[in-house]
Amino acid sequence: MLVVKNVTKKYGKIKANDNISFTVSDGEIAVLLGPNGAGKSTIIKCISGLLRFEGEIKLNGYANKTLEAKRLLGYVPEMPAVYDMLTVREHLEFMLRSYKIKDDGYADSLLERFELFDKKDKLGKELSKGMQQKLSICCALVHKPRVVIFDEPMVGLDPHAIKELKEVFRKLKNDGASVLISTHMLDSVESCWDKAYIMKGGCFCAQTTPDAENGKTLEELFFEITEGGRE
Amino acid sequence: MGSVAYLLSRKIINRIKEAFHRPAELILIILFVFLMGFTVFAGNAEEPVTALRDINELYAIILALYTLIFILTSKSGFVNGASMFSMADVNLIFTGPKKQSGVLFYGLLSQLGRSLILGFFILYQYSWLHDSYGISFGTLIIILVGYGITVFLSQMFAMLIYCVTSGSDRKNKIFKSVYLLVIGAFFAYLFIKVCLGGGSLLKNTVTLANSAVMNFFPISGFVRMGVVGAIGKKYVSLIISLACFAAFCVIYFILISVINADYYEDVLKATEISFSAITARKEGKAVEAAPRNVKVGKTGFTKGEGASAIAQKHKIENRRAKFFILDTMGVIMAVITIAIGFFSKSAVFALLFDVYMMIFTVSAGRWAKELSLPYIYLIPEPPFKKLLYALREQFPSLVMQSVIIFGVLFCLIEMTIPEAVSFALAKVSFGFMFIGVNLLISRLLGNSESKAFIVFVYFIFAFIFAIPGLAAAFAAYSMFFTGIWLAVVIMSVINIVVSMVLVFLCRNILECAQYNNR
Repeated sequence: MLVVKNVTKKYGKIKANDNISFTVSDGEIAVLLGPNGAGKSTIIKCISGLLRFEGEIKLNGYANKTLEAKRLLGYVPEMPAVYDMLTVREHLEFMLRSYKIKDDGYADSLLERFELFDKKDKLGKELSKGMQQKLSICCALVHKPRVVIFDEPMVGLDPHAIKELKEVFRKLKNDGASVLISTHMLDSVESCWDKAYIMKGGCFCAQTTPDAENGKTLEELFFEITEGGRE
Repeated sequence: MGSVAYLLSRKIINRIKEAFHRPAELILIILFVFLMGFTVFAGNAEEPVTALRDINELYAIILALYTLIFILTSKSGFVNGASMFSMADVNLIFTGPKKQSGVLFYGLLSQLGRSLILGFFILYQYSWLHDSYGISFGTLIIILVGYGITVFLSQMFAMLIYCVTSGSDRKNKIFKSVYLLVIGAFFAYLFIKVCLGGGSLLKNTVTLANSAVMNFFPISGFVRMGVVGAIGKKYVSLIISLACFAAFCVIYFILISVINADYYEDVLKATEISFSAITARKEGKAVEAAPRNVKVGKTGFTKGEGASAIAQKHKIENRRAKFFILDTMGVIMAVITIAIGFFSKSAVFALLFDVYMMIFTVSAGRWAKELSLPYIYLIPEPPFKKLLYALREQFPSLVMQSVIIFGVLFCLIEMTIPEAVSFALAKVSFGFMFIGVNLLISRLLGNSESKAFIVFVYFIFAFIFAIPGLAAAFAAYSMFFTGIWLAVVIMSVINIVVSMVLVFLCRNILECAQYNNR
């Protein structure tokens, strides 16, 4: 379970996130929506432990910067960056060693799922941007995290990978993980979201569930809230 | 094996394997090793014909080099820090279950390796250093290690400055003022002691640089003390230097790990900036070295139509990037060249060094950035005209740099007016020629070939196109014996003709991007 409580992040005098609170329960998929510059990536970096902030963020009861919390976290960054001089398979090997987990074949199954298995001996620098993104997703999932944060995960992915990623979202949900997805590709999460948090100017301007919206699409909701003035 | 040890070992092993898979890279490595071997062999082959120079001059040069590195590196701490991490480290290690102090140690270790690799240019100085000061290759390795340690500690210092000041503009201003005050006081002290001390400027500089007080200049002072201790077997100096090094590291760890235990945010921005620059370079895109706070000033184009709009755009960009004829790199190179001419008392040597460095720096002009963007190809003007306007920005800085370097050297060392003028002309002519060679390489190989191969071919072409001028200079000097200046003027004229031919041959490079494989 991910709990974000009264989080404020300032850069000098500018508030990138202003008193944000939300939760993502076990087995729940929450989507984080908002126009460019709304503060989505900032809150994601705060949750991932990359930024300092005022407030409280907990993962399954552990403060997000503790080692216990980090063991539970999977993070797919906005900018996929891989090691130039490590092969695809070595990236996963490195992640398994980092998290002190024995390889039970899951790493290879992830590579197969994202069509990277035949490229397992390719160096990071030889991968296209799309492949780097797939590898980044595999690295975030290989230690079977309980809280997974995706920051624009669909960018650069081919249709097969998008299909597989949607399947991964569903599997994570069924396995009881808490999933937070920030994306502009609204139709890609249309079929699986449980909660939507819509940000504007560093704050939440709305939060809703599919049941409360009577069949409205995320796109309709997004424009209604960000441009139509709905509170 | 732990994950970090696994990561470091795989990186090294894969880099070696990679070199064998890329013939061009392998050839370049072999060429560098061969050149290094040749430099050492040639340096050792003949004993110095003249008496050796005072070794204290070398110690002064070492201090100057280390201090320059310290100032240039540490001042980046006021802007964006100096990240020792890659973006992959941020994404995969920072978010993982590792203690921040352990991650910091990994970053420092990686940085030390990179620092030593960067300093390899020092090894190529063996021949003249051996000839002038009688040093062995082992001594040069000690100087290289000192250089690596200076870069390493300076980056740590920059990161410390960034961690302390990044959150507050007020703190940034206060620390920057103190920093500038200390550096300014240091140079004022140097100036007073050297210029007002009477007698020879060179002698005063060397005496002052070797005085005990200089050993306590931050980082570069105590590193130089250790290097001098190791070279001269002065074990007390070496031990004091090592103690300073250890104390610096301990204080650093305490400050970073205890006072500001959560440093991830502080390195994140610097890492993102460096990642964007690396990605842009890999994709052959332009990287603008603009200051953090760009003062927009007057907006809009008042002049410039068609191709001349390119030159006008460069003027505006330079104004906003605070480049006034000379950019920061230009000033640094001028200072280093003057220092080398001053210490070696040889304008020829200063020219040789400057020409060598121009091989690397001349491609940093705005014209090179233009080639990587689509706009210049789309402007409906003749490609040759566009090319000339794109190159125009480069000329004033080349001329200005030449005038400054050889004007100052004229005042500092024994040089006649014709020599100063001819050397300045020679620098400009080589600058033109390297621009021509860069264009030719861009036209022939573009952006799609291996970078190592491009560098290799660039070196070969730079050498080949310099031959006509050098041969003519040699012939003129052998025939007339009227002094070196006439030979240098003839060489410069031929260089300029060669560069004009090269630019003319590449006149269609801006017709379409495909011509340079963009």
